[in-house]
Amino acid sequence: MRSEASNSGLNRAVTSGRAINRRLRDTAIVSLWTSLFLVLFDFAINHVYQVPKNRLAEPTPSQIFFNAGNSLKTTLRTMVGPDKHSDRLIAPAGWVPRPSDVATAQRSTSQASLSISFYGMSFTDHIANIIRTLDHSIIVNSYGGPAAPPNRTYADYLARYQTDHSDVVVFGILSSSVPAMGTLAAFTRWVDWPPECTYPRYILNDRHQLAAINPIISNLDGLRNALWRKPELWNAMLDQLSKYDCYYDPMRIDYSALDRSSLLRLARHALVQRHVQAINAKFENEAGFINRPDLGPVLSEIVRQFAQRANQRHQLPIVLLFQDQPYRDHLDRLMIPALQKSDICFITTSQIAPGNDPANFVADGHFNHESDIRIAKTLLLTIKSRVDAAKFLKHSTIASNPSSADHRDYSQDND
Amino acid sequence: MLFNSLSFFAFFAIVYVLYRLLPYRGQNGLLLVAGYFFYGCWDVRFLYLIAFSTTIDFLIGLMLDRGSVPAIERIKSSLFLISAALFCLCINWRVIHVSFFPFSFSCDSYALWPQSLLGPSVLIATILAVLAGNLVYPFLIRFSQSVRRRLFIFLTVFVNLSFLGFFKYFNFFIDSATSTLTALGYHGELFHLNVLLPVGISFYTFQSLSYTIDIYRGVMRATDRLENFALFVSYFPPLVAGPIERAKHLLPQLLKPRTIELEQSLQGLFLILLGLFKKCAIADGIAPCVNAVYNCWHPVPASDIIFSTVLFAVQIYCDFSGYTDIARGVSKLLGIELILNFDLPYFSQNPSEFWRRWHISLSSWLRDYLYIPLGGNRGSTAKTYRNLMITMILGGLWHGAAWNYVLWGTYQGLLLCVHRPFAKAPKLSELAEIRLQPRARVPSSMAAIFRIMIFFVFCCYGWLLFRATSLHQIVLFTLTIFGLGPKIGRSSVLPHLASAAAIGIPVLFLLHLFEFRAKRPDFHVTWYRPVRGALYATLIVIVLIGLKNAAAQFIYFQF
Repeated sequence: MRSEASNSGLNRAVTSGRAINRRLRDTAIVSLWTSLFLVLFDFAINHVYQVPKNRLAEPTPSQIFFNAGNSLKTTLRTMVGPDKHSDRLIAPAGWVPRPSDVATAQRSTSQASLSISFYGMSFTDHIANIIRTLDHSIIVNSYGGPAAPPNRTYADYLARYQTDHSDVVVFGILSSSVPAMGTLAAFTRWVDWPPECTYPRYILNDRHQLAAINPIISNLDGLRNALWRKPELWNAMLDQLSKYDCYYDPMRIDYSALDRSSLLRLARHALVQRHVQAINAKFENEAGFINRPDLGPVLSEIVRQFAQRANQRHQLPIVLLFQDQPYRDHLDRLMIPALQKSDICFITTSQIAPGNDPANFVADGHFNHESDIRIAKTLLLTIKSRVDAAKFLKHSTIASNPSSADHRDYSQDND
Repeated sequence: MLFNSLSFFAFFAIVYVLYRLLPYRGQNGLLLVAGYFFYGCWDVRFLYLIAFSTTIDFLIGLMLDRGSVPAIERIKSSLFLISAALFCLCINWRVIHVSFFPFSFSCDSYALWPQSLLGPSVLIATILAVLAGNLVYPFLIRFSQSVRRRLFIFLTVFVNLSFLGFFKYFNFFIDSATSTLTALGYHGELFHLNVLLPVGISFYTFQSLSYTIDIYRGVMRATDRLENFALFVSYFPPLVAGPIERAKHLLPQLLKPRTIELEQSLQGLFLILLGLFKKCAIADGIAPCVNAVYNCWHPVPASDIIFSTVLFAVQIYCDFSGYTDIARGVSKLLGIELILNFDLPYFSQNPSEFWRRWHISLSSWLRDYLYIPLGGNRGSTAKTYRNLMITMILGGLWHGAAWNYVLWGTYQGLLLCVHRPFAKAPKLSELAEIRLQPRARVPSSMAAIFRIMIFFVFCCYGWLLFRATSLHQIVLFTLTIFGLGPKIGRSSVLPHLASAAAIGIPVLFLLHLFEFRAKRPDFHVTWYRPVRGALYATLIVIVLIGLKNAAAQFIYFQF
């Protein structure tokens, strides 16, 4: 009996052992099949979503999506070729010009009622375009870079202000770009198809004065050299970014084997995106912008100096606050006390097109046309109340009610 | 520490390796420490609440079951509670920052001491309460059994629900009272506290409460060691968003050595993958579309409301069941089974079936500890309807302190009441049993498919009530859907659906269809190996694509 029982136990153990072995074998084979399919998917995505070789052809959103996890060097090399003719169209965008390269901005003449210069980004550019259509007699100049942070906008202003003879200068501040004040380059914070421009970062020195950290590479030719010809320049730039750029992430810098696999690129893209989100959280959370010495005080000083320069040149400085994130008043709470303290004229979109109302926006995050018109009208009314009314009213056809936001009505008025 | 974060997987990798190396007792100690660490990552201060709830329910459990508490357990409990008050409330943990991936640690040692008097005050109150408890203990054990049992069951319900009520509903009731007084013409500011809601408090409070009630009912015996009960309450996979475990299911697994089977581990890995797929690819991909409509201040087109509400039905299912899948998967890797929380709820043909498939751990909890004690369906028809309505309204209120949850609960209660005359009454014996593995029924006809679709429409309207941000929005959206809303000049406010969600939703539907037909959650193990390989690879690719979606907190964390 005992022998039978022990035999039965032994048989069960053997059977169980065989079952485990069978399951292990099954698992191993399924794992191999899974790996094979992953390789196939990887190959297929790489093939289908390859960025077009033709540098004049813009990549589709899907191509951008599946290549966003490339290393920074690969991404920048995709945009900036070894020579000027091999650059993509976007390559020159956003670079801060040298003062010597700047053309003179027109002053208002007897034919023109007013001239306005906008410094900022696409948001200010949209407003500038609408003002052009609202009142053809106004000369409008618009300068900016993609999603430019205030430090880039200020650097742009500094490069141009001596040749800018406009009556009004508008300084646009975009809420979502404020955290980028901790950057020296657009491509450290911008993960998908980033602009490759660099710009200075500003800090307050021991005497609470604005001090610029200028990027080692400050123009497209410099970046081209670093990417294709001078590795020591590239390394020097990385060294500077690692020291002074809050968003610098070593995980995405140099070319690596990850660039070859679309799936690994997706994984790296997710990691980099989470890194950016983590750094963003150090600048802003749901309660508002964080009280950091390199944020609020620096931004306040930037707009104070901007206004001071404009006043010295008898221009009207206006700060335009774009609250484009799903919060109502973060930017207002950061900036309005400082603007009021320095007696700087400002307009905030939080009352005109609140950021927490998705109906004010289009899918790419910009304000919709109706909102842009409301903002533009409010800006013009503010300008009207501030500048020489007689001169301005001579040619102006603006309606006095800023809440009427129908663009067609305006076109008819203008007609 | 979110389940869909690298920090969690780094944390779990460390726990898993140590778990496999340690013997049984060490494993339990590790899980206890891991549970407290996991919860402390949200806010260390709230660990005191868990410690308090654990200690009180452990002691009450012993008093209900045995009528006394061994001296060693009294000392352990006293020291545990005082230590919890000291470490959780008297140290400013916010100045300590730990990140697992990439690893970083920082601490401002000068700011470690408490910034307010609240912590030391609670510590002193805890010491006084512990002293008082030990002083009255000799008198308590002299009570007759019936008096003692009534006293302690009242105590456990009172303490647990008071904590839950204070942290979850205090501001809601004060705000509602203020609004009512204002409407009546009285203008006065009522006492208002800025009470933070501890993450997962509804889950662990119900879990802990079920333990003492089961002991009171004689369904199970009390555990005699504080650390075992503490592990039951703080076991980390289901801690913050369920499933709400029953003591008689989870505790026995924690009290005996576990063997981790290969089969179980493979099931666990698949559940984790499926959970990530649901959460990262689908729920997070859908969120911007739903938010665009429900956060809109102005009237939106009816098509937007309908589309976003259907998407929200998918989002909340994927978000919540995704969390549960990861929790169950992680737990399976540790050799511990958690109860099934979702059983293809959108394949339900009627509200009664829906509540047997949706959030099973909560609906069975409400049934066993609220509906049946209220009388269930044992009295008159009117009483049965009353019991159903009370249960569902409180079930709605469990989700959050807002009137739209009350309305949602009322709506679900009404659906059950309307459906009840057409339903076959279940036997009481069936109701009393926790259905750990409810089986799906395959619809046999087109009529059944039609019923599923019709009920889904009713279900979606419930989700509109659930997701709405105000009563005004509920009225506006309802009128708009029926063509009675204001005229809308604007076009759609819906952004494009994220690619991972657009690919993921049909894949999930097919997977659920296969599961429904096969009547087993591991339906895929019978497939040919290459097909299984293709399935797993597809899910991995979609998860990788979905990682681009902004990682959002799990919806049910707020409950």
